[in-house]
Amino acid sequence: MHIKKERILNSRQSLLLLPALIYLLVFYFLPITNIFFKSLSLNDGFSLDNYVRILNVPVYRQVLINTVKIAFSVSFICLILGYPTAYFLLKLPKRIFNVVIIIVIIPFWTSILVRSFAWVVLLQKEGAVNNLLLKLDIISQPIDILYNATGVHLGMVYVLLPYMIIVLYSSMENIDRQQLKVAQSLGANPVSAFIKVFIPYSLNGIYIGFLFVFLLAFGYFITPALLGGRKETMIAMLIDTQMNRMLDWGFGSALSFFLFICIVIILIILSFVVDIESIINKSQQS
Amino acid sequence: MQMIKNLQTLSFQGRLGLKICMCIFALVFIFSGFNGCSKDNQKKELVVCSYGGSFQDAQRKAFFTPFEKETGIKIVEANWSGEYAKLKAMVDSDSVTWDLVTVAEGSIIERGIIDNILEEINYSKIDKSLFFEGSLTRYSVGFDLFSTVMAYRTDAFQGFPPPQSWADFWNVEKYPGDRCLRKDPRTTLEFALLADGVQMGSLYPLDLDRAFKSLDKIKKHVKVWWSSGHQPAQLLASKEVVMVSAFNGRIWNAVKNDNVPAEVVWNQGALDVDSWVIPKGTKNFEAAMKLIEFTSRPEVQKEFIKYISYGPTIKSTFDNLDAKTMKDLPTAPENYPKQFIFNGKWWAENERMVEEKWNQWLIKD
Repeated sequence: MHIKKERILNSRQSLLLLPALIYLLVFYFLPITNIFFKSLSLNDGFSLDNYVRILNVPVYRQVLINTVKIAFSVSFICLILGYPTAYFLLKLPKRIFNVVIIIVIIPFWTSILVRSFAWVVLLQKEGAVNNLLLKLDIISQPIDILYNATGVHLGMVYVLLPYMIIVLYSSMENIDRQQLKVAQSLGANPVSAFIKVFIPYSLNGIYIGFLFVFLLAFGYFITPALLGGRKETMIAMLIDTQMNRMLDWGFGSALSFFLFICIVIILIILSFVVDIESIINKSQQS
Repeated sequence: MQMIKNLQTLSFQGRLGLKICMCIFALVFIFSGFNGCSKDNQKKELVVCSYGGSFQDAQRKAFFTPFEKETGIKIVEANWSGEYAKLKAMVDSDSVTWDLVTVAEGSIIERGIIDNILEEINYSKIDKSLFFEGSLTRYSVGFDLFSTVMAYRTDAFQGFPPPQSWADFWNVEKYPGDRCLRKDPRTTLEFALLADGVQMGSLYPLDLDRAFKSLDKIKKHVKVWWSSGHQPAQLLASKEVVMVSAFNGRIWNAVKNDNVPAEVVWNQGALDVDSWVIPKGTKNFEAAMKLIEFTSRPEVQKEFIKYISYGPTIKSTFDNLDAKTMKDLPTAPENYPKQFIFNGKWWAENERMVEEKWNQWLIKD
């Protein structure tokens, strides 16, 4: 049935939004404004010196580019791994599904510091992974999978994959599988039915899942700090140094606000590349 | 009708259950509040903050536990890694939760003095003349002297004479293998200059360009950059690297307690002092001073040496030590002259500028 839901709230229903809006105002928008003003002051009086420093000194540009690269590749890998997993979850009988979903969610209950540290133990030269590969004669020398990009990607994908799976699954759950059967009865083989019908309907989930993981990965601190080398320095680590050690809160605030603006810009760009409105409408029509 | 009646009974019971739960929660909160806020507790409790790991374990065994036994003052421990911002924020916002803090970097003390966030030490019961030179300031009392030194795995260079200097650390042909240096310009820049041939006496003020050029030579051989005291020892133990820079006491602990085959090189080490400071505005000044006086006794410092090989700040502690213990201490007569003293004052003045250059250097290829 093609029913387009009424999306206009009447004024009494809008009042229900008030508590959430007030919460956001006090605990989100106000602090961000505070940070913004802190970043403008440099020894009394307004100045954009902090921002000039960010744009001029090459290290901050380099770190920002590194951060975007890592966040992007981690999100991409999560998508590649998460999509088949979510699809697989769709097909499971209920009992097995319950077990698998718990396995996916259990890592959330463990502290991220513990999980990241566990990867250090696994990936080190004489760690479990290298020992296994050596025993199976797949390699003859221990491989370098820690304190570099490989280690960071392994750790971050491990932590962020459940988010991707859950978002993709909930969007896939809402896809009407009758459409696939219709396509097949009209002559399509299962594979092209999947490609031409299922995937477009799941684009909404893909977009949201990718964005979600990307935003999380962008601000990551602990995992790259523990598992990465000096070239995997991400911007959150620099902000931490400025705030906690150098005590330059003005500059730290400027870096934070800069990060915030970058994310907003990326969101705006992505919203042009992927037209959200039509995707949401399309998936609602299914 | 029956269904609605059931629902109504359910909701009444549900609400009763909810009310009971909330009463219990409220009572729990009230009673826990009582325990925390009693005035008596504040007098009999001292919050001490330190760097964790085997270092804090040693402090606990040699200082805190005997102190509790002797005075009845309970010690509550806290952790930090030298985040000066935390200390300053605490004092500035008048919510000081640490009564006594261990500070491992002279530059933090200097900044604390400039920012006026430390209490002046009451030396009425402490004899300053008993201490090694450089251990005391108006606002801090040193309780151990430690060194940042080179350490290596003894099974890494079979048949070769072991590395003896920072020039050897930089010599990758003679001593191949991955290295680990501190992710911090402090001491790392000094070591780079020493490797390049600068004499210990003419290190300060640091020639930054020369130091970074020297570091460029070793950069791609440094596999890991450590930021926490336990890391270098752990990396040597897991054979991830063959040579490190590290705090001497942590290596000693790894050798003694975990049987890691490692050796410390005293030559060209950087000497520094671990001190007590009292944040301004603490309500437990007397108790804090009592602990400081306690750790300034030679027999207490001697006890501390048992658990971690950091040198005492009281000269007379050396009088009764055996040679075996002595050789592991940075301030032993055979080790002391080989090292230089880390200049906290220069670093306090130049930290900010150096830090940015350091970050820049670290990131680029």
